[in-house]
Amino acid sequence: MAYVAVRGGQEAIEASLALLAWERVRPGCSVEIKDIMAAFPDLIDQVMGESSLYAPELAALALKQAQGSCEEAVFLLRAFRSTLERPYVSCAVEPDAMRCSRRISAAFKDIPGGQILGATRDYSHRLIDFNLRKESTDTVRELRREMKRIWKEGWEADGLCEGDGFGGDDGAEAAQDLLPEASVRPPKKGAKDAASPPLGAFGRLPKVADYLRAQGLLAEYDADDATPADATMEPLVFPTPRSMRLQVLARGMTQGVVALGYAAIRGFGLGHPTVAELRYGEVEIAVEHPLGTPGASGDPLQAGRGDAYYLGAIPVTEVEGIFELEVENADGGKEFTFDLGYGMVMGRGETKAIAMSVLDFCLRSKDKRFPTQDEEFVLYHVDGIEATGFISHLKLPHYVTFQSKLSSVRKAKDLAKGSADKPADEPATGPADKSTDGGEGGNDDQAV
Amino acid sequence: MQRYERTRILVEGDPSLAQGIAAEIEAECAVEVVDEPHEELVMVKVRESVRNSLFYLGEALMCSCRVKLGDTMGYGMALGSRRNLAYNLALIDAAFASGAAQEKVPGWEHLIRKEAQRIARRQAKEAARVDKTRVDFSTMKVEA
Repeated sequence: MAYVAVRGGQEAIEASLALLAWERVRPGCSVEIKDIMAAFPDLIDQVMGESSLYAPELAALALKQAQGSCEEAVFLLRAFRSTLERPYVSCAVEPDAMRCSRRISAAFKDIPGGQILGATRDYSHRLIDFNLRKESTDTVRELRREMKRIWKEGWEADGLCEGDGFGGDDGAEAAQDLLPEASVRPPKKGAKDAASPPLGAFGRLPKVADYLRAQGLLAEYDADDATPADATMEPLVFPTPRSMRLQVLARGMTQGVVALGYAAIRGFGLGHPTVAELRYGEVEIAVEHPLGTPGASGDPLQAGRGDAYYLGAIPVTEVEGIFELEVENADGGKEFTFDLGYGMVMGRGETKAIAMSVLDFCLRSKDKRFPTQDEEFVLYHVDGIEATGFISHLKLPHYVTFQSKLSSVRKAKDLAKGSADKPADEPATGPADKSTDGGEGGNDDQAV
Repeated sequence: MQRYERTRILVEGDPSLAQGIAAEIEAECAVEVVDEPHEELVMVKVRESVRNSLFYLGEALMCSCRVKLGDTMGYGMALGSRRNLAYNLALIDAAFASGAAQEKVPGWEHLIRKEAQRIARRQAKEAARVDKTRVDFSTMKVEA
């Protein structure tokens, strides 16, 4: 087997690229990157999540270049990331360190910190808003002013306006003693002398699953600080470590992960989860001092990160799904218990994160009766670049391999007819393909 | 003031604060730029809460810079492509570590803490918006 180089299509390819460029500019109008970021934050989140690269401005740029094609934008971002060095690994983001702006549980009505809907479409009517046709930047600004006015009235009532509350000069530092639990909610009216809570304390909420652990219904695990596997640096080798599975699922195609998670619930997997907790919010990213600082990890509100560098915060969606399962007890009998599946994705990606938690649970079973429990089936096929790359390559010339198939089918048909005659000579791949047959042309994809 | 707290305020706060402090340092000290501000990546490591183990969520674009004040190295790092901020942070990091402008440190820390209060107010307002979406099940019970 060998591959042959391509010749003959260069001018057509250049013309095709020119046509592509023309189609982008043909409408005669453009959109600025900041407008894409403002109008399509969820799409940008999806591109970043599947690219496995948090870079909102670049994701918007990639979408612009890709003319809105999500898979092309992901390809562009993945290609871009390969051009950069990666000298740092962050301190571990701890699970309860998220500054939540949404947090719900389908398992319990009353949870510590409460059910917080945040900004969600869950309860919206799925009707097209035709008023948006007439929306302009001016009308958006006017609406924003009006909403800010209403918010401000609420803030004034709660004593949150400038120069009203939040202690003296020692503000944040003096408030380090405030418990995270106490700072879940904003300060109430009348708390004018209260110091501000430490930065990042707002929206911190206890984990719902901890309630089940406290009841002995969920196993507790000691912290495992083993260095994770890295899908960007090593190939998939089965069986995969848990860290590899989670990383591959987190960067998987949104619709791919969702489809397989759905299949698992419908009967091609282990069962139906209950969402113990779904939370969306920001987590802080920090790195240790490049020359090393012991203990610079963990919860940013604790003293451990004192010497680390804060880089910024990124939005993530996190899900813990509860599954009921039957296990063998100490007496050799069967009993029911609970276990969790875990999902986390960059940005807003609730269905993907839930589906990820389903697949995380399924893939731990190692029982390959169901495809969603076969890690090779799941992990190899959810990666966007792998999947779209392979499917796309089918568009490229396969002239010689197809000739081989054609020849085989003809021979088989001839044999079936009992004819010993060879098929008549005819153009191998049609009139336009003479230059690519017989090893002169074809695509570099083409085996001969 | 510890580095984590300082850098968190400077990264999240008004960039003009870091710019102003860095300008004072530049005016007083000889600065050697070791690495110009440039883009690179940081891998985000997460502890998942089911098995309490670590995994890599993905990478984030960041900008970093290294400067020297005398013998002291200063590092500046921030998510995104904020080159000016990375440079300013590196200068401030070196100044705090070297004690080159020790007499100015209390004043800078005062400004940084004031900025912290401003950020805390902003976060409180965001938290207040979110808090309005908290479900009050007890109200539902009364209505039923």
